[in-house]
Amino acid sequence: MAESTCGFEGLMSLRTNVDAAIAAADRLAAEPPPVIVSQPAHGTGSNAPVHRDSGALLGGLKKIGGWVLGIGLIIAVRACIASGVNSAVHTETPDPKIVADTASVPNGSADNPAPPPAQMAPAETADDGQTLTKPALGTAPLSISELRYCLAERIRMDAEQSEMESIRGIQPERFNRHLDTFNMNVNDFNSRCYQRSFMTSDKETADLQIAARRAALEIEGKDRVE
Amino acid sequence: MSSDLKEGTAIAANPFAILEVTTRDDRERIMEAAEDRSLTIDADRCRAACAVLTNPRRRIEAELAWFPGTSPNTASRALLAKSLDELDDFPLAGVARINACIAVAAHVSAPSKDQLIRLMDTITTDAEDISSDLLIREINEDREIAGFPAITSVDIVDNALIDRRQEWRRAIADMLAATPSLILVEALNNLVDLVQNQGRFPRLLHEVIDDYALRAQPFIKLELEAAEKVTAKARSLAGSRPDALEPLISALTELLDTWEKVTRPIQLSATSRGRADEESESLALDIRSLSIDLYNEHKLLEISQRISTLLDARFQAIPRIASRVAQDIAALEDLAAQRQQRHEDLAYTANIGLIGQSQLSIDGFGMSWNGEHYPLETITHARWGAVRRSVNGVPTGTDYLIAWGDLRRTAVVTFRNGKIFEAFTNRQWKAIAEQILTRIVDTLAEGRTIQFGNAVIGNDTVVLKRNKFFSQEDVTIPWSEMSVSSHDGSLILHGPSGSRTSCNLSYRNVNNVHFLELIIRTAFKKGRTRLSEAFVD
Repeated sequence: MAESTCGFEGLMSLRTNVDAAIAAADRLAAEPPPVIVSQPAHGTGSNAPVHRDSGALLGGLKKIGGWVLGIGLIIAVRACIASGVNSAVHTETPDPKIVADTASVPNGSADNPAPPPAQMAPAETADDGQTLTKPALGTAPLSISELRYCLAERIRMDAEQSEMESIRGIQPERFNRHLDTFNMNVNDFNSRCYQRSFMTSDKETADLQIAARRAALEIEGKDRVE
Repeated sequence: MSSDLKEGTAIAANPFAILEVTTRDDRERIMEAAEDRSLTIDADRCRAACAVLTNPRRRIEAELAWFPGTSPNTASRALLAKSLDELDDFPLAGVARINACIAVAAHVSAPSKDQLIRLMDTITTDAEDISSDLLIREINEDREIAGFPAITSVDIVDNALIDRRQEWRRAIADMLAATPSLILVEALNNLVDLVQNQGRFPRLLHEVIDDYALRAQPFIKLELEAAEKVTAKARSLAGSRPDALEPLISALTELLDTWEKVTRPIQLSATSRGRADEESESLALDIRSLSIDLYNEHKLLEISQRISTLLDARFQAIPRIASRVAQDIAALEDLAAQRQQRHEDLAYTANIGLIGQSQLSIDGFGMSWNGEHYPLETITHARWGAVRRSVNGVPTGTDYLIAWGDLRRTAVVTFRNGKIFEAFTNRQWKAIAEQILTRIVDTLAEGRTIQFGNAVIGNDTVVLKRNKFFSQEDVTIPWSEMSVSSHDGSLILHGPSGSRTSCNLSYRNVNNVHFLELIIRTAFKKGRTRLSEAFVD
């Protein structure tokens, strides 16, 4: 029976035929999936900078400590990314090689994971660039404000030590009066700042921030020697 | 005069038309006319018409269906009009003009869009402006001449008008039923635009649209079912084959186009009365829900944006929907900007090796090494670390390793440039940390365990090895009794003091140790004894 195209009944002739679309979608889904372009969007030919492996040492691996009274300050730089803690550099002599497509069993085994909740993204907290936070004892990675504390304290203690050296033979009484306090400061510093991990990007930032306050910090250090 | 009227029409059935008398003819003239007319037409009809016109109470029905306030001469000429243009020549207004328009419509078998708009506009607008007092005055003027008692109660006219409105409504419905459907739909759309632009919406037009909505139900029901089929199919394919969604989006576009065309008058009428067009809102919200799910569950941002744009353009007549969709579009634009920013933040390429260089790269889509591309969502594991080398205590450089892979392959890259290592691992973490952390946490929450090196990680406990003479034994330790530290390139899991159990997990050599460490430390920091609760607030 021919479908009416008049009046209210004729509205039925306007209805959408979705069955054909669904069949087309099913046909597409039955075909092999399209080949994903294997090159990232910013690959060769793009304006993105290309960095080169020239065999340079990691810039952050510097021994920044080591002075009298047995202070051995070696801060192991680890690439701590966001709040995640990453590998430390360790000293061995393995035979490094570049291997692609080697077999490896992934640790995770869950298939098709649900989208992660937003709170699981590494969180970033606002930093005023000034606050110095005394690190808690332990091995947790240093935040940037804790890192600033360690760098600042190091400058204060350098100045304090220098002041101590300068009065050593001249004012032995003053020197001895302050020696215990100084050693206590060193121990406290080592327990909080020695072999702690931090983000290398934080280190660069904190270095600049503390460098700007160096003169004031040195005065604070000298003033400790009463 | 009645011989020129189309049989079966309302105007032809009016007692004044049957007896060919005027509103000013008296009782005697009416009775004579009934006798005369009974010689040529059915006598019973004539008697019935005579009874109506000579009964002051019943006469009002015939008077309101005729041309009140119009001279007999004008009425008889207006009866013969075949078009609206002809009607313009007569001084008609109010009820008289409505009845004249309906009489004209009876002569038009399939009105054009413009004719339909004009007819409906005239009828519904004039119906809005009827004054019962004026009507009584006009009718009583004729009654006085004809010698019939005057109408004294407004209620009588008002009650009769209720019936008339139903007649007019029915007449318009008949007109629409005789019109090609596309013209019908376009005419209604144009008419609602017209009245809305003039800041009015006649009550009779609302009633006409109510009739239209009722009679369009079969179409509406089928379209809703069709939309449900399309959205269900889209949901089923979105996860596995988003590339197959295109025909469905096209079908949805077509469906929404038709839906808007057919239901927009209904939407506008409902909105202007402060009501909800439930079917349209239901359809819009279902499709909006699809749009949201496509993004939230499958990150199909572009498709989600397309669907939202479709909704935005087609549901402007429903402010509640338009407002929500506008917010969706703004949110999606924001997400698109964030995604773009993420792509830009993640984009990094480095050439590894001095001779025969291989390219190491990462962006918002995936990571590549040596021509092999790993889409981010397929990556299941990663590890990275550095080894400082020395010969006889003299540093000779640092070897860096970055590895990642999916269920089939693993890319392992080693090189000696610390800046590349730092730059790449930073981006790698941002790119894949969420998905790998989620996978680990979900696995543990399901009660399954994951082997990391020699440790079997569970949600509540960890199984470590304890050395015995010539053998080892498994020791299950609750997380509440464990501690962790990081030393010399490894994450160290410590059992309780005196348990002689610990396990070193090399960051560089054991997959996903970095992620495991974050989960453990976060759980410990929050005082949680189940790893799956590490990120739960």
